[in-house]
Amino acid sequence: MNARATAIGLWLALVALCIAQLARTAFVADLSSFLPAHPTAAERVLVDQLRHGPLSRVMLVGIEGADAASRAAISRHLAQALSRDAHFAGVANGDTGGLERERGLLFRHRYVLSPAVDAERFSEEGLRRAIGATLDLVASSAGLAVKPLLTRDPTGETLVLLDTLQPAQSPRLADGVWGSADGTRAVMLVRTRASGADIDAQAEALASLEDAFARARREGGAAASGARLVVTGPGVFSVRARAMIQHDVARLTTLSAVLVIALLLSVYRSPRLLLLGFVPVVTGALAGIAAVSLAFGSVHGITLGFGTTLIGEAVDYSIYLFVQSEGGALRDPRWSSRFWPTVRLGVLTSIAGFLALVFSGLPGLAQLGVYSITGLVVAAAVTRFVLPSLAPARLRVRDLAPMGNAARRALVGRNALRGVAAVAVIGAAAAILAHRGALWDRDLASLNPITAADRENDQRLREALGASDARVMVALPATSLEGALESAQRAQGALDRLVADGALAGYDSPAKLLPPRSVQRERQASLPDAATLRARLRTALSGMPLRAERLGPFVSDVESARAAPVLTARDLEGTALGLALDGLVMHDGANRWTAMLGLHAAQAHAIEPARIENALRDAHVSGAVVLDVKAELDAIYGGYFRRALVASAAGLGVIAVLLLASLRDVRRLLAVVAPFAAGVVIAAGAQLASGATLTLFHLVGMLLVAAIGSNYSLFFDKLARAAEASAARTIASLALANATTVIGFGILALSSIPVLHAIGATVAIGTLATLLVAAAFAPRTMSNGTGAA
Amino acid sequence: MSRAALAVAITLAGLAVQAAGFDVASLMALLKSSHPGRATYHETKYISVLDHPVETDGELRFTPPDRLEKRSTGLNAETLVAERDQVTIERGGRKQVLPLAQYPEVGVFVDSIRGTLAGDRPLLEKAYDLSLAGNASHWTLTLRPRQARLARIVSRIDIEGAQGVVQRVEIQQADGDRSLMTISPASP
Repeated sequence: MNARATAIGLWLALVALCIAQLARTAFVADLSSFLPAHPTAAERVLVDQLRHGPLSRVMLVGIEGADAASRAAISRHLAQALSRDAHFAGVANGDTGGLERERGLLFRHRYVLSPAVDAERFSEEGLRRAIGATLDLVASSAGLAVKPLLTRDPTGETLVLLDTLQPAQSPRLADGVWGSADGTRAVMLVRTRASGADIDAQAEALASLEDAFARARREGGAAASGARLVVTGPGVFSVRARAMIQHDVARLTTLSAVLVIALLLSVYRSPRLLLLGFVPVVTGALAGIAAVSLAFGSVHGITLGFGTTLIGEAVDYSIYLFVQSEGGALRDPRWSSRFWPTVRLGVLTSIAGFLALVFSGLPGLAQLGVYSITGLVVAAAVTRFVLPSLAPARLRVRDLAPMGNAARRALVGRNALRGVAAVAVIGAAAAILAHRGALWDRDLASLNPITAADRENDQRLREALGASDARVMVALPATSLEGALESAQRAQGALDRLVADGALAGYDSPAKLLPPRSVQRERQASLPDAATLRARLRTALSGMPLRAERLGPFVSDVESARAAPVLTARDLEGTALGLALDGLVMHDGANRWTAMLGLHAAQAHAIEPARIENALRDAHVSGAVVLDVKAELDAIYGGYFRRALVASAAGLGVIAVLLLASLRDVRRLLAVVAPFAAGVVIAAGAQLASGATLTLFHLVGMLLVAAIGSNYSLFFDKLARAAEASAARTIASLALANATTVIGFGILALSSIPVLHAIGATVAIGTLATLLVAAAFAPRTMSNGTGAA
Repeated sequence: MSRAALAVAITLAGLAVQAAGFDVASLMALLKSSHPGRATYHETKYISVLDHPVETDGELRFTPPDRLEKRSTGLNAETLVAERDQVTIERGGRKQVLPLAQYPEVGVFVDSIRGTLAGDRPLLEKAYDLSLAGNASHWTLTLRPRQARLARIVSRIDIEGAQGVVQRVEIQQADGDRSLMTISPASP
């Protein structure tokens, strides 16, 4: 009685503690949990970029449907609305009508911004050449646009600047705004103020954008009513993934619980027993979430989704207790001595399986591991130590021996089933052999919970915006903004040579928008004083149609530029130039700055990162990291994959050692291993035959087949040796336990989230196959026995 | 009335009828029906800050309804291709694509020439008020900008021609500068 009270007291205390921890738990749903936890330098730049760098704040907007004029009108209205919207730091749609402020800024600061400004350009010969070129332009078709500049900017620095800052490739224009090459959609580039990792803020910004679009479409009248909005981007994907995870988790958990409840209720025919059976499950789930919250600081939505599998697995323990207990009495001390060791061994092998998740290197998978291990241990312990105490003394479980006998006659040792099992294993092995060259999907995108439609839209918008081009980036770390700009300026020297050689089409650099102070001062110093400039102009312009006396405004602009304060980041704030600068310099932490230079490939050939690295090294640019984004991401995935393979092999090894230590007989070990090995092969073969390629998540699923399947084989091993009188009940309990597992994981396979789908499908198929194979190849003597109950 | 006087009167009346009958609509019809083709041009720009005018030579090529190619030769060579709502300017091995809506300085020339060569009255009237003087064998079409934005750049454009052929384009800029382009059919 005292022990009973203690057990219940401890259990209540545990539940209370878990609920207290749960109350202060943050639930997250961003995808960064599936990025590396301990990245290398290059990976860190990339992961920072993906999490909260400028790239993470980009939204790509497409306007489809309706006619071109309506799309352009919507694009303009939308751009106007968003530029006033506090959620957005900037918007670009190709409409340069509203850039007066930027033009004024460039014009005022042209002598510190123009890369052409140096002492040579302001020598007599330099002036003569530069002014001659500008006069040629005045005579050209664009002459009317150049003419107003002539007396203030005869050397054409404004034109040099526009040329420098013009993107290497800009989207094509349709009705004055950016559009796709096929002319079916208008496109825009929007940058949010909030980081891409702040999903709440991203969701707000997205909603605001959708509102603004609806308003812009209404203003367009009937002609615009057919227009549709397409938005993609890292933040948008996170928002959608979170919605999908929340939707899936709620739906799948409910469905799974309902099915398991219906199954158990139909078998037990006792609501009280059903409630008792869920005590370990709920306690385990609470403890699992609390443990994850303690270990990781927050709980990922996908971890909760994985909880459905815990329903399927943890409920097994109470099933074993209820169904296997002699005479249906829950306080049967013999169950503890006869069956508990087997259950305990099963729990240990499951832990070995889930430990591989903990050490996979992906925080997202590690959470699943910690959650499952804690959940199973707590569920098993509650079943063993608390459940019998909680159960009313008179509660009896219906005798399920008849059900077990029926199952035994149908399955155990049947030649037909053996044949089917053999065919399934051979077929699956053949499928694996047929795919052996391309067994594993090595693309990181396969882990990404983005729908195929979203991915395709993103691809199309990136093509239209030319955003897909900056696949290779140069990251230059520094301790200040000025340092980052200095570094970028040095890199520009090397990159300019590569552009001249045709190895690059161009590049974006923050130092083009805001040259470092030293460069600005150097340019100022190269400007001659008024008297010198006048004298040089007189000589330089001899024989030209432009007389030096006309250039008074030029002389006074140069004079004031010599003494003007240097241009700073603050001067650019709130302009399109500031927005562009913001996209090329990343600031995180007090003195961690990174200049990001996007490289544009020349049409003829792809960018060779090694060549860029060499050029930067020769130019003494320190700490430069050349990132081939796609290659880098693939390498990250490859790294995970190898690590997961090692962790899985280790997990299998531990399972084998545990089994051997307990069975102490190699032949029995083989008999226990064979069924779940067959289950793994069949599960993998089924996936491949259905057209899926195997990912990291399938690998995890296969490990779980081994971990869970070993429980079934262990019971059959026990039955085979002892010829237990309760064999029928044991078989009934196994069938029931497997049914709940298949329900839990099978429901998970319905999820649209790759990690849940892959693990669910693999485990559901694999465990079912394991049970059937174990039953089919169990000794025939078992099926003849009538000694049950 | 003498017979001679009558003959003169009839002739004068005939001329008057002919003049009255030649309106913008008939000019547009003439232009529309004329064959597209190649022509050479000589352009002189009078710019007040410059001591002497700037001169260029080159070739024009028009393909209805809206493709205009202007190729200048010599030291200051340049190719301009206008198509639909944008122009591509190529000079010194560099290519620039400009949306006409955003570069009225370029659009003034392109749209007035293109609209005239195509006989596209609605296009011309979108931006300009039209008036016509002369007859089919020698006419002058005058374009005056309707919008203030355009009027800040150009005050009037006089286009002269004979039948369906444009021979002379004179652009009067708002600041008093002007440019004159004479066009002659290219030898085949």
